[in-house]
Amino acid sequence: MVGELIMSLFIFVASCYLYYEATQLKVFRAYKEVGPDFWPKIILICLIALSAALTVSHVINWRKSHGQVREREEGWKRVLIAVLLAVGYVYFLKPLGFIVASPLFILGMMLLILPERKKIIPVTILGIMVMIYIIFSKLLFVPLPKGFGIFHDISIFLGL
Amino acid sequence: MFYNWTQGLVTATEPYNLLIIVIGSSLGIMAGAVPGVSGTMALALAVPVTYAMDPTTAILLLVAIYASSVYAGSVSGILFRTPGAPEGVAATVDGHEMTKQGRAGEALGVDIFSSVSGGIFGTLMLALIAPQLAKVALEFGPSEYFAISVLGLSVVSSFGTQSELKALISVLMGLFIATIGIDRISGFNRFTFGTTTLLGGVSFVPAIIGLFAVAEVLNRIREMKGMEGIRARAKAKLPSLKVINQLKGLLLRSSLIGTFIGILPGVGATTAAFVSYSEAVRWSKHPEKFGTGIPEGVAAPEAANNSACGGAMVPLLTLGIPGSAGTAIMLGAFLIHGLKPGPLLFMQQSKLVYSIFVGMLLANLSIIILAKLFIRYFSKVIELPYNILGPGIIIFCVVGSFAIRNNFGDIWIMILFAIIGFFMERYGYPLAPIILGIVLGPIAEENLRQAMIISGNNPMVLLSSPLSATLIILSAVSLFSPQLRKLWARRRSARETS
Repeated sequence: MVGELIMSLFIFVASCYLYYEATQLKVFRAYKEVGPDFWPKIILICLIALSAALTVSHVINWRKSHGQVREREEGWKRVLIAVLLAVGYVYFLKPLGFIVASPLFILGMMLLILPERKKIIPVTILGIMVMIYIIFSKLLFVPLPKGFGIFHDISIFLGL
Repeated sequence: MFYNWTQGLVTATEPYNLLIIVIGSSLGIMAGAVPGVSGTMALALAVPVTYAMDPTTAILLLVAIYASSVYAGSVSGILFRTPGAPEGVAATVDGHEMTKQGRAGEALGVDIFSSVSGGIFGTLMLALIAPQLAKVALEFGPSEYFAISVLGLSVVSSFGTQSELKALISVLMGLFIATIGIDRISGFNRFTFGTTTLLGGVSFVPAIIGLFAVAEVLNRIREMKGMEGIRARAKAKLPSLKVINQLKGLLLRSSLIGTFIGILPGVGATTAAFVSYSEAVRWSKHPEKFGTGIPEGVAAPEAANNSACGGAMVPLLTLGIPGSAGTAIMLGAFLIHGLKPGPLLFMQQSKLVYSIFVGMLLANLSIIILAKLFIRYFSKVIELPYNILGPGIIIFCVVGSFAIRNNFGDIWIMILFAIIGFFMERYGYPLAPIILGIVLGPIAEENLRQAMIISGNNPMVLLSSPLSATLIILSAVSLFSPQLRKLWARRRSARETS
């Protein structure tokens, strides 16, 4: 309940801010009525109205339940760690390259999801790496990130 | 006509294309059957793989995945009561009962046969209806195209959500996302916030990969359900001629229902399966037997959901309007490969269009062979724990997003959309309307502005032609139909109580 309220409120505030941004867009005098701001403004007005209606309905429901509704949220910590791992992976993919950053990410994710199944980690890392390498690098000729400095040399050495 | 079919047949049966169809069907079956990896996710993951292919081959791959994933949704449902996709839920009721009675092979065989016959029927109907509809669509101007896109957007209230308000917010978010980047008419930047990554707009592929694939992985990580994989052994047995004879009327009726429902934008294979199941109960001489494990309970929904695939391709190919998340992804793939679905596609790319028809027929036929083979090895795949599948999917998504333009910005867009998708799903906002908004937004905006400029900013131009006026009225009815239905039901119950 509280989460839904925060979500709708966030959409409302974001829509208001984006509407302000839409009013700042450059407009050709010739197409003043149907300039680049015309369509976004229509969408954002609808978004503001609908998210406001949704927020009000959440507040009413919350009040009806006298603020008693408590959600039992589980797994948020795991999701947060997974997102941080993914963000870290993408951040380090450029300097470390695919061949170094990917095994670290897979290792982290596997330990996060089923930490008791450690034996399969090396085989899984190798399997996923080889599969991605064959599909993208060999079949589709997509250059995978090689990294900088020594990591670039490692990638070249391993034939990436 | 005959020449077009021959061209399509020759193109689709080229050894490389044939191989691609088989690969696509295998991937579709795999994705549809494994719980947590849907056909939509498979389509999203396959789009970057198609970059290096020529457009016809690329579309054939996607069409094969699309056609076969619907079939496979019921396999894990029949075996383990865990449908791989929502389309497979209706067949799970009787299918799993048959499995419990030791008739898993029979249930899987009926499933294969019904799916293939439904799929072929839907494709033939597509080939019959689509060219005729395309001829009519050639007469359309900006007002009509705007009205059609509004009609496409208005079906969001029937996208399988509990809250129409949230579905509308989702579609509006999609429409807004589509405005980011350089405005195609004036050339001015919109909502780029000074970054060059957003100048070309939000890349479609990273957005769908993030929304459908990575968000689902995050969801599974939060719930931690079915992480250990599922164990099973089964072998499919195709139905005998006697059983086929008993089912033929049911299959034809279900395929017709499925095709019709598939054509309606937003009402996809899942609805087709359930409507067909309830119609099968209504027409049956022994309705009480449904739910106890009878072949009819598997055949009806499976024939309908597979024929709905062919139906759903009708508005996509003839009008460029996708009616479901799967066809929205395919529309994106068409655009990426420089193809614009719509009436002109039938004139300018008839070879491609007829290759799609033949490709869909072949994909459906390949299900017979592949499914039997696949079910034998299926147990191995679903035994895989999610700590292998999850990281594998994310790495594939990251590399797939990067592969589009060798741009790290696209990966960040993908991650951002994964987070957005995760929170939206968590709080009951459906994801398919966002995709519909992103895809239909530019069509709606461009045509609306063109119509307004041509008419000297007179909004009544949208109602000036009978067709666009009818379509806009239909859109309003479609948009408000859930509220109207509720109001009607409330009034009726009030009248009954008084």
